[in-house]
Amino acid sequence: MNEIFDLKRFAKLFLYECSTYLPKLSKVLVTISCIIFAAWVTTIVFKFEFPIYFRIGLISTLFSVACMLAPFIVYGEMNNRKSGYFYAMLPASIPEKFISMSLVCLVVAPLVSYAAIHIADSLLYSLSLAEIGGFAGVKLYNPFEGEGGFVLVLSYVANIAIPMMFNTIFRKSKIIKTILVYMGFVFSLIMLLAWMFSTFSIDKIEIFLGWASEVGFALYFLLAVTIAAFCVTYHKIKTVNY
Amino acid sequence: MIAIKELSFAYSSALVLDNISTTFESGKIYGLLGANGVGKSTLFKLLCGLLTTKKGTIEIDGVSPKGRNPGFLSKIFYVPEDFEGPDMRISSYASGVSQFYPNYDAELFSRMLAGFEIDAERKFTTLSLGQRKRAVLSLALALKTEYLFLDEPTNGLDIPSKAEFRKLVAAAMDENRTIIISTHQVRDVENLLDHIMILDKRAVLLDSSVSDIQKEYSFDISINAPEDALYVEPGLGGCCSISRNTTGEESRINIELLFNYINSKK
Repeated sequence: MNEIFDLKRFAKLFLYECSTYLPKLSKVLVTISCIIFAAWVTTIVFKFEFPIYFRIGLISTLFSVACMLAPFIVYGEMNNRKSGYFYAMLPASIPEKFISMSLVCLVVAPLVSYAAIHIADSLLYSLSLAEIGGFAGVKLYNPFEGEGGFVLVLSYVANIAIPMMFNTIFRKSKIIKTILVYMGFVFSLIMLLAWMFSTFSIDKIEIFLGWASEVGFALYFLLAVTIAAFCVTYHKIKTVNY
Repeated sequence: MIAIKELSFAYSSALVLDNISTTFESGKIYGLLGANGVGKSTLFKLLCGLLTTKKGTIEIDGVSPKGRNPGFLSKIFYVPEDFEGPDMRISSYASGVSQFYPNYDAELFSRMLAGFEIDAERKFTTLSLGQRKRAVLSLALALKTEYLFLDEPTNGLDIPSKAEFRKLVAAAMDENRTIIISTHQVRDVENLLDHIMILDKRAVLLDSSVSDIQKEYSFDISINAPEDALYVEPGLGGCCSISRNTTGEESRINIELLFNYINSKK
């Protein structure tokens, strides 16, 4: 028996996780669809306009939220002291579990979310053709079109890899704790900028920001964070105790 | 075979197991007894690789549970005391999980569920604790893993289910299988056990086969306790006592009395 990676066993695991864990996402998708309908009803009640660019913005935001929530919803119990050990005891290797989790969170859950949100939007369009002016028409982003594709793809991966990591680190109140960490990060960044502006002259800061932009500092930072998030996730799957 | 050598484990600063060494052989049903908090569930989790420790070693067929390798995991199954179960039908869950266990017997699973009067199409979340326990015990036995760890399996079971449980465990046993049952309800399993282990935080107080215990001790209920009794407890039919077996005749083990006697000696 191949203890590291067996394609047949991996396929079984992936299908098992899709069929067992993915249905947990349905409640989130129903809620998100309800938000789209609620927004539409609000515009009717208060006689606001519901322009297509607003819908596209709403749908894009809800899609991002669904993608970021997916790891917590789908694999939320994986490190639960009472119910999570079934995940750990499933006879599959750590690489198989990690790759399956990554595929479900990065590909399957976003595709399901995308489909569900668009079904809701299409239904809305069918109900109110005249008022809202056509399908929202949000296209799946093609990274091979246009410039900056790699950065966008990386941002997308990071936006899911980081929640995946926090899902394996925190055992309780995972979403709230993750939001607090994000807020802590933003606060630290603001403090850093405030310190820079109080310590250095504007010219020096402009030179620094120009240099950072030129060398692609944000890209490398994002890349480092994404790789670190995947490494931590793998390590936590391997070593989680119950 | 399971070999445990000089195993110690602590939760933060609270020591639970201290320098425990023992073995569990194939083809036997072990009763793991001990007071609350001595580390019976912890030992199960260590055996499954759900907890790890740097002090001491565990080997199951020469493999350490720490790695949680698929080959190792497909040989073991653990039923915890408080099984919650996923929000899905029993049949769907069983068919999903069982594909990872090569010896799974679907027909046996159906028969066991029928024996326990559980509908396979019901969701775990709609079942009572006892029903969930019966469902997962059916799955555990039908997976036919070489090592099966049952933590308080009869908790939550009604009287007919306890009898059914004993029948199914006895029927599921074979020479390649090792079943370890941790329980406080010793009367529920006393006729099943081949070997009794009494665990304490600091040591294994007793690690002996049922036949050896019967050869060494004599268990008796009488109006007056024998003069040479090692331990006596008042009971409904008189005095329950343990004495040295000097006649060579084997008596039926009173595990509760044995447990109290062994604990009184420490």
